[in-house]
Amino acid sequence: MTGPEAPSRDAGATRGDAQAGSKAARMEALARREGFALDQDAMVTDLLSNAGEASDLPDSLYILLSEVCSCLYHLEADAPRTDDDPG
Amino acid sequence: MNEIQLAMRLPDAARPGLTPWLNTLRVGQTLQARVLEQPAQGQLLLRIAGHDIAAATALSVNRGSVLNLQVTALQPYPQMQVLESFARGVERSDPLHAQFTALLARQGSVLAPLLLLLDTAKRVKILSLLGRDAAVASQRLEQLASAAIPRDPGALREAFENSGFFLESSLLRALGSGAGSPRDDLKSLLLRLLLLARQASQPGTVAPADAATLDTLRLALEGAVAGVTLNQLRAQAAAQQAGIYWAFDLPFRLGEALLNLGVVIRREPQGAREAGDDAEWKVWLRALLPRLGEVGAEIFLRGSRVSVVFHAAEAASVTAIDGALGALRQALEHAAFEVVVLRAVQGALPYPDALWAWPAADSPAAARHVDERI
Repeated sequence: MTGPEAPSRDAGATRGDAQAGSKAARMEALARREGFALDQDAMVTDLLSNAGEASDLPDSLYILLSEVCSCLYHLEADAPRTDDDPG
Repeated sequence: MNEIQLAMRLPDAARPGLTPWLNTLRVGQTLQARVLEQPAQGQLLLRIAGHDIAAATALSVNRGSVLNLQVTALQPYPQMQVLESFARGVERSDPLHAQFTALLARQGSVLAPLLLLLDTAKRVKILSLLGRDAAVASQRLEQLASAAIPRDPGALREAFENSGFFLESSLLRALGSGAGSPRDDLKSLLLRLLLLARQASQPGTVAPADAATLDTLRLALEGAVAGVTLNQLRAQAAAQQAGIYWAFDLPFRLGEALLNLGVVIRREPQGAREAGDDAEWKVWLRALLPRLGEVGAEIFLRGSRVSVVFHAAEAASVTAIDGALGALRQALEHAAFEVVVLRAVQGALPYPDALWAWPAADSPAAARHVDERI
């Protein structure tokens, strides 16, 4: 910052980029300790870290989809459903 | 709609390297093609992923044009449609655009590296070249690929968690919690093997035949990782519009076959009046199965109301699915769902525009078969 005025838009963006880069660098370091490299741009790593988790989906959706998968499985395996079927 | 069907001619598959690439295609996949020439009306010569491929189309395009294609069917010939625009909703100057374009060119099926590692002779050779560290990753990858098609909610959630879609977010959570290692998932295991393959491929360290083996593995690994990353990037573009667009490729075992279940989950961007249970979910499932052939399902969920429309390429498969709908209805009602639409139709599953944005709600693809929004 060169004066008393608020940080410029560019300065803000640069700081944001630096934070994202730092976060991506720590993630990359963890990946290396786990034996792999993320093999992608730091910006992509930072973006993809916002993906959430599987539990973000409602339980009813899991129940519905697994019933449909179960239907396809029984058709493909040519095996009728039974009461103790996991699906 | 500026969408046009292309059909690649299979005699071209005799060209070296083309058949393996054709085998990695999956429905819903997006590709870029450059028009090399239009030798006659109704014909195009395209370059896609480094392959020169003849195509039949009613489209008239200029030489040098770049087409953005989406695979819509694999049987009897690979079919593609020309997408209206590339990276809709994303500025061309967006740096992610370049990443996206590079990944499109590299992407392949998640099954390709798994099939290499599940082939006993090839696995022995590969592991001998990659060293001891590869054995553990390979074994874990085989375990992931040995799962059956998920038939209960817990197995489905686990399949999503194992898909690699959440790798970066689980790394971030592990950093935040100090918990240490995130779970092994498909993407992390592929990346582990990719790193080892690159290290083993250093010039001068392997014989030419071994170098070719490593090259095949590396390309398969890079393609699979690119496919997962593309799914992740699309999800982030949707998230910027306050919606969910999650796409998964879930490998599963059925008998001796290793197959792929394609899943796309979409939640419309929520307005103030559409929170919680009022959220509308739409899901596309798709698989190429040995007995039923190409099948898919288009699924709606809002609150407890559900609609499911199955699509099958073969008439006999439609009949078979039709015969199973009664049991499915019973199972859904038993699970406290109110079934609005449940039917099976012959034809290709209308697939969502799998680029950055989803189709407009009033587009034909969004309303072709399940015509009441629930």
